[in-house]
Amino acid sequence: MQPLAKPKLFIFGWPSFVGGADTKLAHLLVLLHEHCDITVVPNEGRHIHNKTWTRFLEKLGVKYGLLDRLPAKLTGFGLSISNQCFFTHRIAHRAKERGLTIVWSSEMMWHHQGELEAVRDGLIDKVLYTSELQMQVLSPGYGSLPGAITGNYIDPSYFPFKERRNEVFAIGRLSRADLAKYPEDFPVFYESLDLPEVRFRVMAWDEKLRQKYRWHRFDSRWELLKAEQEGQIGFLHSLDLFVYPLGHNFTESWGRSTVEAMLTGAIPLVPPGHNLENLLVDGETGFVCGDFLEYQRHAHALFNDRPMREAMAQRCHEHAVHTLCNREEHLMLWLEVFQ
Amino acid sequence: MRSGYCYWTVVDGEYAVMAQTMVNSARQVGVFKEFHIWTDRSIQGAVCHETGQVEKWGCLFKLTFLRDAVRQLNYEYFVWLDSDTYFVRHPGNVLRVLKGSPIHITLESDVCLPQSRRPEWWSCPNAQFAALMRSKGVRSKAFFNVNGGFFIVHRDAIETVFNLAYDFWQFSRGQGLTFNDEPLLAYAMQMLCGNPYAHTLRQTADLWASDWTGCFQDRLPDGQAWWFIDYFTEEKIPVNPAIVHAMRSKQALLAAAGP
Repeated sequence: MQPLAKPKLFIFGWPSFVGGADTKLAHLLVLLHEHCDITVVPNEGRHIHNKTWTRFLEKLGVKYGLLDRLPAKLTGFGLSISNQCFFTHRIAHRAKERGLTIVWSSEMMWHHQGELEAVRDGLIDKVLYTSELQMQVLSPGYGSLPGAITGNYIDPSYFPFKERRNEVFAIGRLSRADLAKYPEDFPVFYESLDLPEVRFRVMAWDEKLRQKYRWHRFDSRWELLKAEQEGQIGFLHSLDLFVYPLGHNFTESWGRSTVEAMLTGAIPLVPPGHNLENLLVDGETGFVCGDFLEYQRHAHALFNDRPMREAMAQRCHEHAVHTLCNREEHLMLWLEVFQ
Repeated sequence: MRSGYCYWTVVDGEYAVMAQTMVNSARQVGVFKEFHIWTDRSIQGAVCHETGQVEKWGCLFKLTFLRDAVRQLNYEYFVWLDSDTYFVRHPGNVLRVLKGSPIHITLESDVCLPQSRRPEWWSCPNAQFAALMRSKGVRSKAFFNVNGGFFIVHRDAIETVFNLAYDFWQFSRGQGLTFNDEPLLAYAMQMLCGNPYAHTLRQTADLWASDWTGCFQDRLPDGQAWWFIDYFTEEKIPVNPAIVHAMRSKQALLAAAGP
């Protein structure tokens, strides 16, 4: 039997380990590189001088280059993930003119600038969703466009499990420094958990967040780290619990940082009303907390019961590896998109 | 900026007379914190500011004064008192009730308790009030009412409090409900306080409570314990706060100010 030709895939964007969408792209390349003929097309020329990522791509056998240097006629799929420039810089328009079938994934709970105009103008052929929740919100804007839920793949080998032996119990979070992602009462919420001895660790803190919470006196329990001030894995390993209350005007469409935390063995305590509750089994691999007292009760139970905590951390990892980040399942979903 | 806090209020007419009694009662029990009072007349023992024209509907001026005038004062926290307030003993450090929160207003009753005997609060059905709060981001299973007679705000949270309150006012108005200060403060409080259950009347009644049923009807509070009646469930709770919102003692407060 003749092997099927690999789908030709042009990905508009650039991988990174900062920010959900660019990180997703990095892991997607790891997932798809053996199964698709991939060319990564950055928005700007400066990216192809970044040796970290060009080496990463070369190691995977993924080609890269600017759109203007590619042939005038192309066949295959043009995929872009949460890339604002794809529309504002008319990259989508040029990709379509060259003959690509355009596949778009917003990743957010809102439409990007120029996205709906591109839909209206017939530039987009297929849309991807991260979750049912996101689909409910965005699909009305897409009309009759075909769509698929492809979720969010994380290569588990990038987030190894570690049994926690932190000198001081630590809770914290890692997310981009977006004011909307933080609840109004964030620091007092953490402190009100009233854990007997605790460190509060937050990474990707910035001046805007400092301003937002300038009414609070952050004492010595707090470590507010800038983005990438520590390695992501080391940071997650430092957390016993990943406590992730969110801002009231924000909805998490998937919850990548929560799954990354779970992979490493940090136990998530998350609010309902987001896709997060689909990522964990409540009471088994973390807790969905509908009230402050639930956060407090579970945080104290996990603080006081080390065997329970260790068992749950292990289950978080297993669940993330085998269910949420199942390589074969994700591969199948993605390859269906490019049929 | 001076650390610590001052008391403040806005009064005119008879309310200014009651404010004099309030300040006198504070001084009598040894409270020498500054009272900043926006008033149409002089009040002894207080720092007085010109009040100007005040739109009194719904007591929303509390929020606009907080944002526009009070914030100019050189304190870290600002403690609002309605003028019909009476100190029966020294309250100690009133900031203790903040528990790390940038705002405190006493959370009185969960409006959705099944044993509630009132169907609504400020003309808003209880279930609708809970739904409004939930829609605007309150993430708890209890939704509390408040009395607007006493609240504390950190200076650097004033803008946030005001914006939250205004956002909730607009949102509710869009649903056909024009709220006064209390639902707005209840919302801002429950968005900002971390653990709402640490700010309930039961947890903080040694400091302040409102005698809305008139235990001290037409007389001044005397420092004896009294029954606070839960506004929704009518449950009786024994209280003896240092600061009494003597809202049914207005004649006594007027008389106590002297000629």
